[in-house]
Amino acid sequence: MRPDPFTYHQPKSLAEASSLVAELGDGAAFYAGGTELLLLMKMQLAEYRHLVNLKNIDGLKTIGVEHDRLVIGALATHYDIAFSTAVLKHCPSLSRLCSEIANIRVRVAGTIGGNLCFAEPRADPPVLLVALDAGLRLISAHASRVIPASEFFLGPFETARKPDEILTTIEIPLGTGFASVERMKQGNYSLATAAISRSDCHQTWIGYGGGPPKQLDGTGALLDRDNGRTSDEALYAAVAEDIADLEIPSDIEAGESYRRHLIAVAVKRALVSLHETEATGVH
Amino acid sequence: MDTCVDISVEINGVPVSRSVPAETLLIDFLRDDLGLRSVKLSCDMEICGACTVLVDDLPVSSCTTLAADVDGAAVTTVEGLITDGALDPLQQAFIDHGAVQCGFCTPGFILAAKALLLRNPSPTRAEIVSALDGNICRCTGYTKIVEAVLHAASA
Repeated sequence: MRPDPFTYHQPKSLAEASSLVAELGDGAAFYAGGTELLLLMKMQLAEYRHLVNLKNIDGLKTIGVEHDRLVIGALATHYDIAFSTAVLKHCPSLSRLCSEIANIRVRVAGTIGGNLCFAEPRADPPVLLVALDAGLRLISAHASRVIPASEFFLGPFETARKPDEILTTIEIPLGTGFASVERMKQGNYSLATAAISRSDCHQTWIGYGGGPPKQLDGTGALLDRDNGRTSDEALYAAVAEDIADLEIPSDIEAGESYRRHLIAVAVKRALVSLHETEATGVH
Repeated sequence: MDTCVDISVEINGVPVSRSVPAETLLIDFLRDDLGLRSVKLSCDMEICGACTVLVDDLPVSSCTTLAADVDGAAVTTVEGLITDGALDPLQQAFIDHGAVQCGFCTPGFILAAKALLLRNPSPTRAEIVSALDGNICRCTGYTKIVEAVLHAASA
């Protein structure tokens, strides 16, 4: 499989990159790690005549603490994040997740920003980042805004990013409590992902391969009421009720009923993992 | 803007400068332009690891990497592990432990293992298994491969 010919642009600034894509229109795409985009282009599922490489723009890979936030540059690779001491200290659930995504080669090349903007419904980082209440900074040649991760993902491969906007940083509030994430992995992706964060209440989110991360309100309320002493039966019942109306995919990787089961298992494992982090005091 | 991209890259220690069409994949550049046939095309979608090469000592799938993206980097294929005609200890360990059958996946496995040993010279068995998760062998199974890496690490 080979991509069709395209022109490769190498802007040196965000403004230049954004203006280029605005000028070139639908035939242009921002290009970061390429682990998803190049695959689609090779399979002829996406056709772009212009790729605008973001990797030569300074400052987009920086990871560090700014005021009350852990700020991760969108061009940081999964590998960079997995080995970042700042991420390990302030957000170990993200460290661990990034050390397990796909395989080492994808982690070395793939970027967190590319992962989020691609909005693959089987990807794990979106689920954890919404549970962590992360903000995503989007910059164009003319404007800058931060939107909550929970408002960024609109559907499979669809986000709130405008075509000329560049995701520049992921901003995670510090000291807001404990968080955990667990995934039921199949090949390079997950069949089900669950993330729970807890400060004053349990925020419980899942990824299920069919749409944007979904918050399980009933399950979260149950965990709040039981204060960590929820039985497995009650937890599974709450998850099943929360996802009863959700359109769950059924495909060659897993049937719908199996996926529903795996979602509940992922939530259960995330809860166990959350209790472990709370017990050890290590976030 | 030109659809060709000028790249200067060090391949197995040798500086190479070329102008390549932007859409050129690293695997084609290495195999067809430079004749480095140890780099194998198999799944063509970043799953199997047969096309693994090291870019600045880290493994990438050359089937889904643009040649343009290695501009300024150092690329290592398994040919580059040989020093003055002597095999790398990892290569020798694969032979000694029978960790090779048809050999198609072997360059990828050796490079993935090399990347691990470069950053962690004394890995545990679990660390080796984790680092090689993502390279697929359809002949031998993985036990002998893991043993070969363990041996090379302790040598």
